[in-house]
Amino acid sequence: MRALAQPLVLAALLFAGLAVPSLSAAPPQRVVSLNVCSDQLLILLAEPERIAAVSYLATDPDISVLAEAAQVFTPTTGRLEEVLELRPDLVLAGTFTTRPTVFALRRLGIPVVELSPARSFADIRANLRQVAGLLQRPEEAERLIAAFDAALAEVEAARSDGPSGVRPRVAVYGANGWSAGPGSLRHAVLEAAGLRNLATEALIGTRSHLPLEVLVAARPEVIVTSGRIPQAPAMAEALLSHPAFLELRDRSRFVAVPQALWTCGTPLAVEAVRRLAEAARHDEPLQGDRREVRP
Amino acid sequence: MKPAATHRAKLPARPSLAGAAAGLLAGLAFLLCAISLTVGPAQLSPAATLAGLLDPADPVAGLIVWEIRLPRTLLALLIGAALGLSGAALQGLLRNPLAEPGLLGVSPAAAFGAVAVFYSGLAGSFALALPLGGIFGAGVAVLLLQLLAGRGGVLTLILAGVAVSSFAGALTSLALNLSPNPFATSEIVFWLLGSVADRSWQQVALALPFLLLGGVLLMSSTRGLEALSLGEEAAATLGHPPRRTRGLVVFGTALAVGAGTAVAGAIGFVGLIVPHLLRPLVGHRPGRLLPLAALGGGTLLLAADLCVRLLSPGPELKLGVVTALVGAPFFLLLLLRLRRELA
Repeated sequence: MRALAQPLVLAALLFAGLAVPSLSAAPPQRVVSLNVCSDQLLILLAEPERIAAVSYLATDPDISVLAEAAQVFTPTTGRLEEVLELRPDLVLAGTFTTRPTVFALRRLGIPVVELSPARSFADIRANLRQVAGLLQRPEEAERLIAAFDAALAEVEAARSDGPSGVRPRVAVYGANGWSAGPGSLRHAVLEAAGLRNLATEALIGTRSHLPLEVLVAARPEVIVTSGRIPQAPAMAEALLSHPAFLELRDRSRFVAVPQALWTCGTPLAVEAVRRLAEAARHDEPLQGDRREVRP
Repeated sequence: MKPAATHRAKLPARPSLAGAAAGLLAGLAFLLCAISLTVGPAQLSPAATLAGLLDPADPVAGLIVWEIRLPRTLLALLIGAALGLSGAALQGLLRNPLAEPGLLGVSPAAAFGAVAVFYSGLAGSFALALPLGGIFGAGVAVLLLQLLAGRGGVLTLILAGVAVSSFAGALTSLALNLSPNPFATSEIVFWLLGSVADRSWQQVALALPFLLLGGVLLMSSTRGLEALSLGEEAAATLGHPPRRTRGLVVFGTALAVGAGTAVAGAIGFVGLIVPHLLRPLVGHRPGRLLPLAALGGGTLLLAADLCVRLLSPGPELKLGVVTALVGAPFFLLLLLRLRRELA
């Protein structure tokens, strides 16, 4: 068994060595991030002087929790010429973004590390450790993870203190009716907050689209919106003022969770868990009385 | 075409045939309306749908039927009628079998008018701005085509339509790309292909008055169009000056297509298919075709909207996808036939 395992491990190590650019002993000093999620991990983990640039989305408060902190860094749109000008010794990218730039950088021999989007709390921890490892600051990641886990445990404790029973059902309803399907980070956050995600029952499929009719028919106890006030009109948000949706206000508890809190997998997602857990607790008296009362 | 066939085609149709067709279409439209109220992502049984229809205060079925499915059904019916009617009127006015609001760029221009008003925020502060924007866009396009149609033949008009519609489509895309709202860009699809999904009574209320007014103007062009089929001079001597007929059709189309497009996006081909299918039933008389084309247009668009709901399980297809899947091959067939006739 052992004789078989050893070459396998060796092969895996070799493969890992090929896939992840071999970093020299010196830790990277000019790190460029091309993805709004890696931006936030980088800002959390690196000393500011080692960050050469973050993506232009990092300062958008609708997507990035660290929008304010990101303002001191050089923004980049991720186009190849711009990135080369920054002379990076490490580039962080998402697995789905700025593909042409990533391929070109690899050809030019610049180390690029791709972070896959976090779909669970385990992914958040893994991504933190990965970025910290690249920066050679593993203790930073452990510190953040410990704080994250402690905060989660606190929410968990408060939850089990409350009246037990059936978990309230929750539906995330965003622009265009986009919801949080099973296997997404949002789903993990809802679960951690002690809520039952309607999307897993309502068969909304892999594309996470929740039709308004299904929402009306399912009557979830909690509805999560982004609470975002759009700076320019779009029909996507007009759906949130549909009379049928507004009617739900009488029957469901509306909770606003800013998109930025759970768009990217950062330890700050625990704030979303906290808000939702609170909404779940407040939900209890809503069950019996208000639902059946008709004017 | 053989002379015998031409002769037969020119014969006045038996009124009973047109009447029967109208009755059949009305029945079909009614049936489709009933189905439309029972079909949707929320699986309501026909009994639950009926209960919801009878009790608007019902918190689930009532809400779904009254606030989501009813406005959607009504919009599909009304906008389809507007498109069928204006297609028939434009074909009569321009004496061109290929005239249609979508192909001629009237719908795309209306969509651009509505986009300019909606995404600039004007529609947010003044709700009527939305249909008015659409009507303005449609009006400009019809007038432009009128200018061009006076001189050229069948092909000039169609090519002008292609130019107008791709220009309007480009402007729509540009306006949506410039919007600071991140969702705006993806809404290009809605404006170019149209949809009546998740509309509400608010949109019905915005479009309805203009759709009705446009419909009345188009219907009152009936006699003028009949006279015009004999030639411009003959029409004038018969007491139907072409200018008046033209005005009625131009403004009627602008109002009906403009308002419809402003709430549902540009939906193509309905105005092409419907008049062609129904024309033989009324003995190729443009006047008598109009009411039938309105009925047929409504029925067709409602059927297309049902297809959209039944075919795609996830986020819905746009209406224009279905109408183009049927309409574009139909358009090619028409072109082939036209070429044979001209040759």
